[in-house]
Amino acid sequence: MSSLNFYRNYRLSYLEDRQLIAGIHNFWIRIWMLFLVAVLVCVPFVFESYLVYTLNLAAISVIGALGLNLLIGNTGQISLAHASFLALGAYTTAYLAKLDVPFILVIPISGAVAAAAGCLIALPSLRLKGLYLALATLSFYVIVDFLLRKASSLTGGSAGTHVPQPGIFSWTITTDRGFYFLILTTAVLCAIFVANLQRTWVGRAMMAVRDSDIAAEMAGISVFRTKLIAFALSSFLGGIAGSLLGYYLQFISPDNFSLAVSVAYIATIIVGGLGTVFGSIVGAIFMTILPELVRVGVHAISRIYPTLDVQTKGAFVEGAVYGLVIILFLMFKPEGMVRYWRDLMTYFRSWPFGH
Amino acid sequence: MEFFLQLMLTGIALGSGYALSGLGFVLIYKATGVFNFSHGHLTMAGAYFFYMFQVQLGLPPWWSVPAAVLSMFLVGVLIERYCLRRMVGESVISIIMLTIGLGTLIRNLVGLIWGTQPKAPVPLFEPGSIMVLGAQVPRVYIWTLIVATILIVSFVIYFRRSSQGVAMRAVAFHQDHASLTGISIHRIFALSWGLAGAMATISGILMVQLVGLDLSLDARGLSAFPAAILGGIDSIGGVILGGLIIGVAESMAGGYLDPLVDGGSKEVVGYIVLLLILMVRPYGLFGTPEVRKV
Repeated sequence: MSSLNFYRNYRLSYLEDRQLIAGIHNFWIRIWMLFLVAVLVCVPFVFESYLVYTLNLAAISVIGALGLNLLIGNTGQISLAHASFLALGAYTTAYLAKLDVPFILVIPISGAVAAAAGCLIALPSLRLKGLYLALATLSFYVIVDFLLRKASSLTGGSAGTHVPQPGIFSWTITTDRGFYFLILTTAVLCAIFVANLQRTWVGRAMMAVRDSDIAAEMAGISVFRTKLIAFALSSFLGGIAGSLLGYYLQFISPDNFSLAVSVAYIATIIVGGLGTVFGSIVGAIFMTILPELVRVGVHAISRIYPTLDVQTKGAFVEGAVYGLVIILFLMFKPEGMVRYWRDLMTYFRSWPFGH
Repeated sequence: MEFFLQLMLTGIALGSGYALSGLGFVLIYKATGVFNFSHGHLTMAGAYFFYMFQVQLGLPPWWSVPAAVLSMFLVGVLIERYCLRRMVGESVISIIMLTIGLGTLIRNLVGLIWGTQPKAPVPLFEPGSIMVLGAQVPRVYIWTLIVATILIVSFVIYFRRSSQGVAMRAVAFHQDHASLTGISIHRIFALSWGLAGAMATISGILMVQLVGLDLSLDARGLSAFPAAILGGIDSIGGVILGGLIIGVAESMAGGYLDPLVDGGSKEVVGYIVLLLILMVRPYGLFGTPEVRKV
């Protein structure tokens, strides 16, 4: 009974408020957590590599979504430039990995480069709000895309560039399984980092700025500094996601980081739930599975109506579904899938006296 | 000098197309307070509708213009009725993201129906070029300029003088007051979206005459963003000037910068200008600063 209590929208004590993971003091929650960790460790040894591949992509987008959620969900600053931060991370990785720098260093450096760029875009954006901010980040995206295509001596231009496999000294990661543990570890660390951040004064300041920046300023919060930190952390996580993506795909081009990627990340956090770590994770997993479902659906349709030629247009079907998902969730479930989880828990808790 | 003049004139013609497109979302913003990120995609969809009526359904070239405009008017009204009306009172971010989703949906539906191959509608204006002040300017550009000027002027008169235009301005000024005087807010919202869709279509058709029709047309339509923001999102005079500035800047970049960086600077220059303007004047050149009271 009490194990179902843990997902409440509110807290009952300061002890609960301080917890990193809600309800961790409960015995059953700990058991479930251990079970989850065991399952995650066992997955690559049990299942085929295609599932591991999908999970790897999901974990990468969890990291990216955590970053964007910090900016949009927690701080309330809209950004269309998330793909650019991923791109900067990935290209930094490509450049450093070619110099045989160990991946332990490459990943944080890629994040730091993206964070520096994030601060750069933040500076002019700090005066802007709402749609003006969206447009400034859109401009930043267009400019970065242009530079990536034109600086061909550094980036390989539109044709793209090769990324060597991640290595440290003589040991390199080559298999999906190896990548699984690298990416999963990074994703878990990032999730804990963001969850922890939400308990600190920085995280609280971000939420204050989101809810009312004037009130936040009155309460002694530096809005400028908070927005700057939010942009830096968000693009740092974006850069890490880009770095891992570059390592994993082994080949990157500007087409990997189109505006559609930014939109897909926005869709991810809307579907999952704005402003929560749980939402980022659920959203990223859902949005990675969704294209697979679409592919299955397209396959089925093309078998029933062979003349329709949907198969070759799979990418458009996928994009249309993304757009539709954004619209439907915003119209009917603005709190995202987190809300479904809460409703489910409430249903069980209040059963049989549901209202 | 001749080259400069030529670039200037083509830039002004292109810019008048942008101004026309930009008017569409200034209209939506003024009347309904929504910033429509899918406007570029509406432009593209309008151009494809035009292609469909003209080539696939075989209407006479000029008759397909009103057909496309009317169907996009309907699309605009439907979008307002089924998507935006539910979002009244939501935060700015939600509404912006809704229109981004709408744009993604429209773009991919167009791609799904018409494919990635460039299409070739019948040109509406005769080819060839004429001499203006000693510079060779293609006829298409002159016609674009004329058509856009006529439409912009008639729109401004409609917005200032007609009873519907006055009603729109009343709604933009204060929704509750307008509603108390017997104006139907929903009808005005639907009308604004329909008109914006129609204007996006006309500018799309004009752009097709200039640059051809394929899936990259939505990026052209998006160029109207810098135009609208540059002039100030709520200023009609501003958006016309902004459109001309962006058009001339793009044309100049195409003439002078492209040989240096081998192509592509056209698409970027508008956004660079936009970023610079936003840094200096966050509300555009002629926009009203938002006064916030505690």
